[in-house]
Amino acid sequence: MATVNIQNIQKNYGAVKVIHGVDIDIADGEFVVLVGPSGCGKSTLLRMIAGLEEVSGGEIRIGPREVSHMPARDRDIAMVFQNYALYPHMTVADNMGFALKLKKVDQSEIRAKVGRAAAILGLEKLLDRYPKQLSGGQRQRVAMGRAIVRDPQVFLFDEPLSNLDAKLRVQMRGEIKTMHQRIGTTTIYVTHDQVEAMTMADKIVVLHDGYIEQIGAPLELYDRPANIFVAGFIGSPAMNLIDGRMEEGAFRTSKGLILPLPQSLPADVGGRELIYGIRPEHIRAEPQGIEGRAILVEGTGSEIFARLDAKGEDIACLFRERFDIRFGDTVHMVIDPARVHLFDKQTGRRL
Amino acid sequence: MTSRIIREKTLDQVGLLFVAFVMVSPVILFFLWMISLSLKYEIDNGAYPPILIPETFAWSNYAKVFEENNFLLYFWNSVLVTGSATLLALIIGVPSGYGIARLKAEKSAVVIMIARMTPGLSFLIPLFLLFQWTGLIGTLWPQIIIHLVVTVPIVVWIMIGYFETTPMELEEAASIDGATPWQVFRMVALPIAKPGIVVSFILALISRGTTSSSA
Ligand SMILES: Nc1ncnc2c1ncn2[C@@H]1O[C@H](COP(=O)(O)OP(=O)(O)O)[C@@H](O)[C@H]1O
Ligand SMILES: [Mg+2]
Repeated sequence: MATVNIQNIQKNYGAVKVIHGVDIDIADGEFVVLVGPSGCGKSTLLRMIAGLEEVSGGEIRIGPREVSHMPARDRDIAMVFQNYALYPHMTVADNMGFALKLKKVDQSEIRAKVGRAAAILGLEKLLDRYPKQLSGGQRQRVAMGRAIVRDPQVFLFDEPLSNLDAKLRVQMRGEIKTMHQRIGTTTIYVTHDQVEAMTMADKIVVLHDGYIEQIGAPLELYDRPANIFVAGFIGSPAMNLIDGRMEEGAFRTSKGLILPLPQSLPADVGGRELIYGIRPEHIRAEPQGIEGRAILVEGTGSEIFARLDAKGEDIACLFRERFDIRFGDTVHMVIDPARVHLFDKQTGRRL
Repeated sequence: MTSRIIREKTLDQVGLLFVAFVMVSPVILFFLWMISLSLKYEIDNGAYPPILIPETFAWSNYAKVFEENNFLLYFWNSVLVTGSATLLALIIGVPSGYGIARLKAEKSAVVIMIARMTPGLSFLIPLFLLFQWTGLIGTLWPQIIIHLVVTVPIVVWIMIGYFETTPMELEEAASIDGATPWQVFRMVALPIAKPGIVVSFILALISRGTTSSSA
């Protein structure tokens, strides 16, 4: 186990800069999720930490060691790849014991360690099989087993669940988290799925186009997104982001919709172009509310997701109570002013 | 239901066997005819209708071959030359193919290909001079080396194709697991490329015939 410090890390491919000086501090035993849309540089960053990609600038430390230019094999890390990367010519047991074999650990000790990891992951019966004889979920477990057996200082995961079906993904998500709580190894986990990030992370790093947008605990990001990007990215369904201005003590859109504002506002919001953010789940349906016409209604049983057209603004709502709405119905919505987020449209920053 | 599937499967297999038979039958017939010829006296050779199995076998033909030529020695030499040329080609070609595939250095592979396309005769004189200087004339080395000119490019090219299809992730996983580049090659890349090695072994073996003229 170890801390990981990333300082001003940069990566260029030729003239193209894909990581622009990133700083992340990871505490010992922390579960950190790097999240961001596809192509934002998550894998590149993770691969630089792993030593699979040369860094173009900056410094990476694992514990006290400066590893920026150390080959992967000396960094004492383990990685789980998206496609599992199991050695096809080795059995499950040999896959899991490969790193120990390279370290010239005793056969009997390797067998004991592999057995222990297999027991944690429920792989005892599969140890003599080859990877091609396993299902996706089992391969995923073997890949994790290979990482556990190593007992490394840091675990790295690169979108490990994206090849599994939805149900298995939820199950494995839980298993990875349980495993982390059990063995407590510092973990850096890459995903494009903000739900995975929210459910698994101690700390989330939101990346966008090679820059860090925000670092924080899941609920911090949810409650106080630092900018429009994080506001739109974290949370599902996504936050409503509505253009408008502060005029005469209220928020008005260009189409004339008036929305409630929080009690205390920064002094300088008047006149500026603003973005008004409200999460779909913070809108209630109540008779005294703003009128809107339902243009989409999706019920999942536990909740109703609806898009309402209010004076030409398309507003997503998530209602927990069950009531009957159909396409075209008029619904009255109440926005909780305490839950409103305001952003400066120019800078994208939270006000 | 199941029985029908099974029947269709057997039908498929019979069909496949038949196709295979039709495809190889000319080769088999040709081979049989050669054996027949070798066992016939000269009068029977041009007989019409042709005789496949002569009434009396001319075993003496074989005795004569072994008497007049040092047949066993030639045969042994040929095995030695082919065998060592093929093995050397694998030893040189497989790692080169790996290196070229991993360094994305296809340009160097083109150089090897050009060497392969250049008419063999243009190598012959420089090589001959080289052998003379090094005093190798009269040994089997010149023949082996000339074969390598053909077999190495074959092996390199097949192996490049194979190593390029091996997922890079596997080798990355191995290096994270603590393998040195050489261990990655030996313990991961090489075992996975086994089918490619078999294919290039066979092709290198049978490619031999084409250069025997220059030997
Ligand atoms: N080998 C490479 N050469 C050039 N550009 C690359 C290379 N690898 C990745 N990139 C670019 O770097 C950016 C980040 O890629 P990546 O880290 O894979 O994104 P993510 O994992 O977040 O989807 C992308 O725009 C991608 O096109
Ligand atoms: Mg990626």
